[in-house]
Amino acid sequence: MREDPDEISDWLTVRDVSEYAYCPRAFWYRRHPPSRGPTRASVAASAEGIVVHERHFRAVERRDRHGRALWWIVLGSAGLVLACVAALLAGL
Amino acid sequence: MAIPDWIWATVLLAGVVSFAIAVRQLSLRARERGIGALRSVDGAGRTGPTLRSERWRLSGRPDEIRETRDGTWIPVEFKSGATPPRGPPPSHQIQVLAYALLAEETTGRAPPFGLLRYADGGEFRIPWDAAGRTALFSVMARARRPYRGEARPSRARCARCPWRDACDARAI
Repeated sequence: MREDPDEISDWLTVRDVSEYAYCPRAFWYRRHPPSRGPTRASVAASAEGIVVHERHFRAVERRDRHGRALWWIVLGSAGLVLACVAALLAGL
Repeated sequence: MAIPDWIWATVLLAGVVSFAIAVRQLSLRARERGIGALRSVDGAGRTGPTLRSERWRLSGRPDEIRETRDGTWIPVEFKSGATPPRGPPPSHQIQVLAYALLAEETTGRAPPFGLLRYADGGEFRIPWDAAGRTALFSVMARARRPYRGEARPSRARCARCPWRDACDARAI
């Protein structure tokens, strides 16, 4: 398994560097995919990873959009008051 | 008319849940703001900036960039898996270091660290220091060399590798 030096792009992506650190053979296979292709499990895991990433990014954006802590303080206080009132009236 | 107990229980539960959500969000928000203000995020319908360094012939798009008050960019890499029990593997650390290099090249300010965040809340600051630079440049230099069949087979790595079925160096 040898690579023609002329085929190697001088530029690397961060993904390339990370993949090389993971395993040089995996790095080489991505650039020269075998006929069998990637495993089904890895394709499924990759799709699931995208969903988890999107969910995380939406949460990050939401937290950033509701930039004011006041919103959460109001919600938390209201919840606490509600819980205390319910507990008192229920005789707990 | 007496109000049934289940209504009180529901109100109590709603109050406790609201309180818990607010506390969690405030804590996450404080943690994120403590690193810096959100500058960009690569997802949720938005595309973050592709950072490029002509000097190092390297490009990449961090998951998230946070900016401190003095204009330093802190790259954040999000991993959809759980926190590795023995800490972040070298490939994750190298990835964050590569983004730190790109952040430094773009802004002229070296971030003190890059952040690795796992889906279950695990978080690691990977220092962008002399040791980090040495490790990153070593991997980049090796990746640019002609491939001579090197591999790093291990049961754990091979189990997650997409090319396992075709690989003749696999450990499993």
